[in-house]
Amino acid sequence: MTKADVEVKTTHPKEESETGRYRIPAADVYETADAYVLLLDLPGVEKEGISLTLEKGEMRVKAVVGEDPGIRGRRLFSETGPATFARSFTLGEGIDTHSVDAQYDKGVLTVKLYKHEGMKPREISIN
Amino acid sequence: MMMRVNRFPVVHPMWESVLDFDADLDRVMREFGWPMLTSRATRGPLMNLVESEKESILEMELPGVSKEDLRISLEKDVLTITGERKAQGIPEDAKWIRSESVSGKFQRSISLPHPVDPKAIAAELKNGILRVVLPKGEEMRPREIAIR
Repeated sequence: MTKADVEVKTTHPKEESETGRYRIPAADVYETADAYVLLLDLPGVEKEGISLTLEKGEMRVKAVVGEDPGIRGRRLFSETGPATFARSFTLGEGIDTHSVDAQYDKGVLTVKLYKHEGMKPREISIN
Repeated sequence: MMMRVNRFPVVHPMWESVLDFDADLDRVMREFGWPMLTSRATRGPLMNLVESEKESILEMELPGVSKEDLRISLEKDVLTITGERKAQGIPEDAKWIRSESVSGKFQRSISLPHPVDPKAIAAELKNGILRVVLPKGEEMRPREIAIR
């Protein structure tokens, strides 16, 4: 294959946060024989706070960090930035967008994007 | 191993825009595919620390870290968080296309703004966030003094 079927876009996601500010989560992608596996660091969000949208060869991920428990006081360190994560990915034609698995564990979202049957490597038996 | 002790107070409201810039810079570096240049890689895990009347609450981002690989210790008023994010294991026939997350060992020490009762510290790791509640020692709480 000449071109990766999961391309990480560098343009801004279409869906942004209400305040217009968001963070781009770190992404890891690996390819297996039958799928592409995408791992996104989304610390501090609940499973329900994650939206995963597939539309016209694009996958958009948006996640909102859980409610601030309302800690009042002096902020001595404040490093984590905006409370919304957003990033989009371009999917090639080799991806079967009807079969996608996603799970969230320990602050990491794992999305498994299966390849179309025709894109999987096949062993040809010799008669 | 990386060792860094952060002295408070680091964030005066005046500097918050600088931190925002820091986060923006991280984003730009990541967009250009240079995650190794982000501050997360050099400084250790990102955190927030808020001091209120009765306690300080620390929240540190540790996605992909298991409870078993995390250690918290307190010596005098220096809190140290040590741990490891195990590298993602992939099947033998798989290949990496992109790798931005930071894995491996980390350590971060924070000089707390007040003495803490070590027995009263509570820590929880949930959804990739470590939350440590550090109650102030009795003598540090503001008290109202009755006038006779």
